Amino acid sequence: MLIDSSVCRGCGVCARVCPSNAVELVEGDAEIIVRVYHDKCIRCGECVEKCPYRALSFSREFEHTSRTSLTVMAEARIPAVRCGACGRLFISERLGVDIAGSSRRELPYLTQLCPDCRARVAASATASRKIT
Amino acid sequence: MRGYVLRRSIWVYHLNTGACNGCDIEAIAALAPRYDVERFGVKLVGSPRHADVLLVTGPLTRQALSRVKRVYDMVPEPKVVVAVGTCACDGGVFKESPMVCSPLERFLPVDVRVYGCPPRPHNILRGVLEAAEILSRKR
Amino acid sequence: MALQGGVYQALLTALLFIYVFFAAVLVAGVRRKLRARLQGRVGPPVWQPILDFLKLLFKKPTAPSLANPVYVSAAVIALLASLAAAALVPFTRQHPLCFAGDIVAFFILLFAGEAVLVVGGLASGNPYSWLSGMRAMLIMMVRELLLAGALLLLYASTQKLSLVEALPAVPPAVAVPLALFFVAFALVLSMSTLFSAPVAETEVLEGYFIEYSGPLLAMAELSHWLLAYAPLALASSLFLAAAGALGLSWLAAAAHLLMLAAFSAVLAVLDAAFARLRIWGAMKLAAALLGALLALGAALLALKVGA
Repeated sequence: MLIDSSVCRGCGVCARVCPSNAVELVEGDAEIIVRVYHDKCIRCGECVEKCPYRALSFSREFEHTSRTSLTVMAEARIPAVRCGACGRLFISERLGVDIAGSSRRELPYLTQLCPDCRARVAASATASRKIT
Repeated sequence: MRGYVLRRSIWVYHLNTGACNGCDIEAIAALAPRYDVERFGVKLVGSPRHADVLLVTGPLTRQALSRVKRVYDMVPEPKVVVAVGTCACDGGVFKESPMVCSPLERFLPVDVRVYGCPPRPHNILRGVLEAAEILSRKR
Repeated sequence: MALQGGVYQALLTALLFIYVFFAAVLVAGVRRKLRARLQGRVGPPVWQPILDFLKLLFKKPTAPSLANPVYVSAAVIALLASLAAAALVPFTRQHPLCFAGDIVAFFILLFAGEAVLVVGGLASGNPYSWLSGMRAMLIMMVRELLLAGALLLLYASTQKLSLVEALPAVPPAVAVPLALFFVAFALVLSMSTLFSAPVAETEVLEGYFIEYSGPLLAMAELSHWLLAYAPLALASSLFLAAAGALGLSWLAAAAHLLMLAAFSAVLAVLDAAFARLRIWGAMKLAAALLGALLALGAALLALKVGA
């Protein structure tokens, strides 16, 4: 299993669809760590199929024996920043690129708020707008 | 000399603790003539009393638990346990089931884990040979 | 002078037992190696049986809850009996263990070597060993009866009860079927335990010593190898005697070993070429093969006596 850390957005879909909880997302200091464990992976391919950014892929390195438990099969560390509102880590750079596209305009609400908080702010802004 | 002999004559007992048989098929395939395990001195035996290596597959179902402990006690020292497949190592997809007491290392000391679902036969063989290496160092 | 003679004999006897051990291991090892090669794989080294034996000695034994003296002593007695039977077979003219009444003792020891182990296996209380023990006893009934017949033929053709004297005295026409009888006997010997039931699970394949472990299992395995060696050694000695080569001392031992390896190879070819047999098939094969060779030998003897 390989994780392309230049493409991963730390969205966590892979962890949610894994039937045996082999993928975990852990928050580091200023990074999100995505780990797939040899012990728990059943090589079903759900994570590979469901990743929206095609960050996960099968490789020839899927066989292993070990004397200790919880052996890591693949790991990726993606630099992340903390949300200004809720404090959660999120990957601003790439999500910003997704939304702003190739114009790469520095929009504060993209770089400082995580997607959930951004959605909340946008919804309240829409709700508080006067209907003219 | 003891280490050399224990590394070169490895008798394996295969124990299924409620597996789907995927790992069992691969384990039996590994012990079939194609992979020629006999050249390493590996032999499949039909009794845990004859075995050195206990090859365990399956997520350790509730019914199997007491029997697995009995079989483990029947294997004479020095012995090693090899957990084959994701189910034996951690529980696999059955981990949250109430019928299953995985992982195996809660009840038996597991020396080697062979990863895969199911692991390929030569990977299982590699696990057995690594177990032989550990066995040759045991007192 | 007598003491020196006694020490010399004791040394020869010790050497004989060491030779018998290694020859039995050679027969078992060559058979396994050649069977592997015939199946297109590399197979274990020829000395693998020694490694297995030593490994079993290093294991700490476990015992079933019904461990009784019969279970433990059976392995020891069987080993002693098969060791004695194997050591009785002469391959040189100067055999330290020859005595009058050899043939009878040989038969009893060969029979005891397996029968005692079967009893020990039955005493272990495991139903799988009961199953295999029953199978072994059924084949033994046929096999031992015909063995008695063959040894009777040996006596009848030579009028001598000592193996060392009888073997060179056998007329060549009778020696050939008799030697083939013993090779076939060794084949039938292997049919009673391991890999003799074609549809069996591994538990049944293990045979009647399924409950033995560690050093006791080492003894049981060694007695099996010695029991397989004994008839092959007799066949080899018969051929050597028929060729008149029994008088050469060290060369006879070397020729003996060579013939043993050749017979082991024949058995390996038969192992690899033919499927495993069910119990009735095994009994029928034993009766037919051994009976035919015995009848041929007896007929040839009768013709010679007539002429």
